[in-house]
Amino acid sequence: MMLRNIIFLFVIILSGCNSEKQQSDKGEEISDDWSEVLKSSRGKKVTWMMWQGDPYINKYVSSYVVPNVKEKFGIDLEVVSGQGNQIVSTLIAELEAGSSSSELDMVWINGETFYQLRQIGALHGPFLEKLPNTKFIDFSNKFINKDFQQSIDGYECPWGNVQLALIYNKDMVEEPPKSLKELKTWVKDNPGQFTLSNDFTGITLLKSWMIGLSGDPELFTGEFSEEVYSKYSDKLWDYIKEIKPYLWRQGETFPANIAQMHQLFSNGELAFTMSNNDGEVDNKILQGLFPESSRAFIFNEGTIRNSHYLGIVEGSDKKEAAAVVINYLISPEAQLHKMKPSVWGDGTVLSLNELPDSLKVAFESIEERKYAPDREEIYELALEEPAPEYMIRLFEDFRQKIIEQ
Amino acid sequence: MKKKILISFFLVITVVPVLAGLIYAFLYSLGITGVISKGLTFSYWKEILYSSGFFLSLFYSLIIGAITIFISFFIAYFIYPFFINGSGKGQLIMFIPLSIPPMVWAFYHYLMFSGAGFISRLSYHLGLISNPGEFPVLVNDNFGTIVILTHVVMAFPFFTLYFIRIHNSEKIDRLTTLAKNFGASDSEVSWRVRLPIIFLKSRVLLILYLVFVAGSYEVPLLLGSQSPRMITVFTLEKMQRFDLYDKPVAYGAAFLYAIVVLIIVLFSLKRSFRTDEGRV
Repeated sequence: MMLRNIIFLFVIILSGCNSEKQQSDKGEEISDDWSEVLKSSRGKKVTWMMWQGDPYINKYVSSYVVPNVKEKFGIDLEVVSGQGNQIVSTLIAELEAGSSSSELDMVWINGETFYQLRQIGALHGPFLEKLPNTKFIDFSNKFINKDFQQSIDGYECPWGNVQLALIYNKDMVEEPPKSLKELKTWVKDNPGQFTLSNDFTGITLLKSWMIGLSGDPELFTGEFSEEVYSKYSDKLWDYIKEIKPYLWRQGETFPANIAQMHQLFSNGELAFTMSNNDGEVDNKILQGLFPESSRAFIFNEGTIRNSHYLGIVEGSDKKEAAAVVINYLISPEAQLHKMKPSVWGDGTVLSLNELPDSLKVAFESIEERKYAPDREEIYELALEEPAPEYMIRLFEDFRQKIIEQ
Repeated sequence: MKKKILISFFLVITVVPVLAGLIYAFLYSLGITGVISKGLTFSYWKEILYSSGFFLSLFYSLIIGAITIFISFFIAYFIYPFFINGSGKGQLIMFIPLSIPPMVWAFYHYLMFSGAGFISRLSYHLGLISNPGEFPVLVNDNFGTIVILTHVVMAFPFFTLYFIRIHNSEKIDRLTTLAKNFGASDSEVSWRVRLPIIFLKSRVLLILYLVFVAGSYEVPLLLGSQSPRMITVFTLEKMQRFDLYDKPVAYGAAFLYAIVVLIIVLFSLKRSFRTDEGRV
């Protein structure tokens, strides 16, 4: 009798094993009539999972976005903390559990998460053509209309546009190395003061270096090429192996994430750190986290420039309200506020030529960044994000060929 | 009947969910279930069994656990006699380190022992080093130095309190007097009377604590090395990184780790029961 009960319970529990892809109820669709969308969104609560690792970004969202969407559209925006892997894990768990609706309504993502979420069908779309403010977005820009070489196909909305920059302390580095060759010399002359983080930002630097070492960024456009990867990743590993003994801790270990690297930089253990946001140096100095002698620069070989995006979860039952929030986030008003260095300093995805003159002037007269390089100048050195497989392979090979050696 | 209901209830809330989880993880690792499942495949298991990552992490975790237990055992063994005859306030002090969460200990030790930490700064002001790079690498090092230290500061107070209980329940004071009456020296009493009793009576606890240390996550995440990685860090990295097809590998690694731990615990429990029955 007891055995029979236990077997019965096993069957019930294990029946969950075969329940994936059962999120059959896709919730509401987004109406083509925007006034209907606005009407039906009023009074709804939208849950947004986003990275909350920067106080300036958190403040922009909590003190500016949340009250504005409440006041203008009657939507309660609840922000929950989580980035790429947590978003993917949450949505996979929901799909496997066969939940009828998702806990999350919208997510802040970029290429590698977009790739994973498209693989499991967790993103709603296409929805971009339904948002009135997309008319201002610069979809002709290759750094906006493609995400890790994948066409966005209306499944995610561009939100901000940034470029990887290196940050140095000019009290420790009089003249920063401007090329990989100069960096090699500098690192050998100044052992223990340079490293890279073993996370998304560090791997983005490796991608930039690999493309730089190839001398031909066009090789990395389009789909993943095993031949291209093998040839130029070998060059990259040779380069890193040569400087490894002169890296921080002799290259035996690397900071686990960029926050740890920023900490090592701010307390003087490292002379360099890096950021995926070319304007971050300004707000980190304003926050008092970086010394005032910090400056950002780009290597002559260029660095990766990419956009970050907003997606609507397929299992959400508040897709229209999420669409209203996203439409507000790409409005000229919200983009202008976000671009100010004292607010966030995030690059806009809007095409200034599409804006009315008064707004165009407002964007052009945003206070200057003091410590970050000029936006126009670094744009000349911008490299496209290669396909997601390059990142997956670099991450694994960096462990096997560098960390574990 | 009442006893059977109670046993069924116990199994339902403990064994069944764990076994169901294990079976689910196993099926996931074979590609039979999961959102990315494409049918039965052994490719994930080939990666677990043929690449060195899993076994290196497992071995490293068990070694870190064993060193922690060894150090904590002897610290506790040598200090517990000083707390036996006290007023109880001494024993109360032992509860303080136990009340601090592991993550807080880890963070505290990071601030103390990192290259730009408190001790490094102190050394700089004393003129012992001229820059943070000269400070010895203690955090994130391959030997897991501060990982071990962090676990030791939590383990030895716990062992101390446990040894006091054993000392009293096994009437070690009387056995000590008896041994001395037969002419044993203090050293002989310590090594040939007290140590075997304390060790045998705490053996299961030591094994369980070893498993706890080997399976800890927050402490090695902050203070441990990236190569080799503790088994939990290895598994979670596979689970959360950029490649969706690493997830079944993570499930397989978690399944195999659970089986290894289960074997260790069952084996030690069996040995313990045999000891209690006088069949060492």
